[in-house]
Amino acid sequence: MNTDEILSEHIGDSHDWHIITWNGHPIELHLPILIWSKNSGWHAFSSSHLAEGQTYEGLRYNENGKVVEMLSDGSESHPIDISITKNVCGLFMVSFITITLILYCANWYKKHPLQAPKGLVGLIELVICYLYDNVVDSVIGGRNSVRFAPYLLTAFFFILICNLVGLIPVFPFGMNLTGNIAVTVTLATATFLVVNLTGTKHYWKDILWPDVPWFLKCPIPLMQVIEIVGLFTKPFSLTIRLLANIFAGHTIILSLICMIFTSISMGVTMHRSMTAVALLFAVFMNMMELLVAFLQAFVFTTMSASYISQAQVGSEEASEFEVT
Amino acid sequence: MSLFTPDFGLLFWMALAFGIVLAVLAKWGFPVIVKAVNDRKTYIDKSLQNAHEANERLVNIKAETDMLVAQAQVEKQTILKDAVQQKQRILAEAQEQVNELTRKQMEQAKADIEEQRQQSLHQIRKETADLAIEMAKKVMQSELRDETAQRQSIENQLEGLKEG
Repeated sequence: MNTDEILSEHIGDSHDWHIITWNGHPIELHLPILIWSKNSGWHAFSSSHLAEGQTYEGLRYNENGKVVEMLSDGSESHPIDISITKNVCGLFMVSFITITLILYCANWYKKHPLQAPKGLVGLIELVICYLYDNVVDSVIGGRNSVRFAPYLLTAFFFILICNLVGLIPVFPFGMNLTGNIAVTVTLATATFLVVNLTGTKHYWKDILWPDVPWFLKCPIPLMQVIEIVGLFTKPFSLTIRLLANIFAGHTIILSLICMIFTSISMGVTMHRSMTAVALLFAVFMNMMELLVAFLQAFVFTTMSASYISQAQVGSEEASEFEVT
Repeated sequence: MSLFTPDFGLLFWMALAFGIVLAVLAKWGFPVIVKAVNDRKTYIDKSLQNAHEANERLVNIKAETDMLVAQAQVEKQTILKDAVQQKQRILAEAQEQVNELTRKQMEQAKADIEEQRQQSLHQIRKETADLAIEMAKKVMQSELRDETAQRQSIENQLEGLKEG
């Protein structure tokens, strides 16, 4: 068996949603492909037309699984691909779950003013209050807390639900969302935009004309270069931290499961002992990932809050408390 | 599909999905919840403070009542004492008035008695003088007729005086 293929299939994105292989036949959902090519315009069809290397409307998969267009001179071109892939389905699902969950809670509060919730709403309130008091209010503080809490809480719940969805191995879950760079880049960009679009005059002055000896900033803008690089390293670190953690978790769990199958060729005793060990470790890793799922969502929120609070120096709404 | 170079398609859909989630939740989701929780917190704080104040007031009321009762007790004592004093004073006054009246009546009686005595005395003197004059008149008349008889008569008269 090819472990690499299995890993990249489970961790990566695809145009088909593979549910299970039964008697050697894969059972899968063929998802819609949406392509815009500058040569032939819009294409919209089911991915079943491209199965097993077929060419449809001049499009086919290349060796990396990307849809390419075959041109008349025999060369390949990369059209703009906004297909509804497995991960896009996952994102829609996560969005739906997040919106439903939070709006359900908000609705409960509207119906029961000044009451304390129980059950699901109580659980969500616990998480929201914990984050609001310990992250948003203690890092940002003042009236700014109310201003930025919706963004930070949305990011937290979106990431948390993405992570948890990725941990459930059966259909329709199990896609690796926050272990995909497109997802984490978007989240980090959102934080970058929030930080820099709401930044105060004082914040920009600190970047463009910091309080350092003149020779560090005048003829050669050394400090400015460092500060501007710093602007981009922050979202970059957010991107990589989340990506690496979730990606690593998925990879390790899958590798452990694969070990059960690769050890078949090593004899019965070896296979059985490897199965036991792999299972034990897989259970442990799943527990660990449950913690990481929460932790990474929490870290992303905390770091975002800290970047936001740094960009609010000197704002009227900011409290005296500042993160350095 | 690559893992570490972002796919445009996924990027596009992610931005759209996250944008929609953020827009919806930032408008109708989290502000409502955060506000509800904060309102509830304020309400609970206020209720606790009110209860505390009410409790304090209750304690104060008890103390006030106790003080009023004590004051009333003291007042009662003074009033009772005053009443007793008043009673005694009134009694004493009445006694004095009675004494005064009695004394005055006694004096009046004494004066009356004295006057009556004086009057009686006066009358007695007057009558004595009249008797003497009468006697003298009779003596003078009998002396003119019979010296022995006069003597006898004076003798008799005197005898009569002695007896009278």
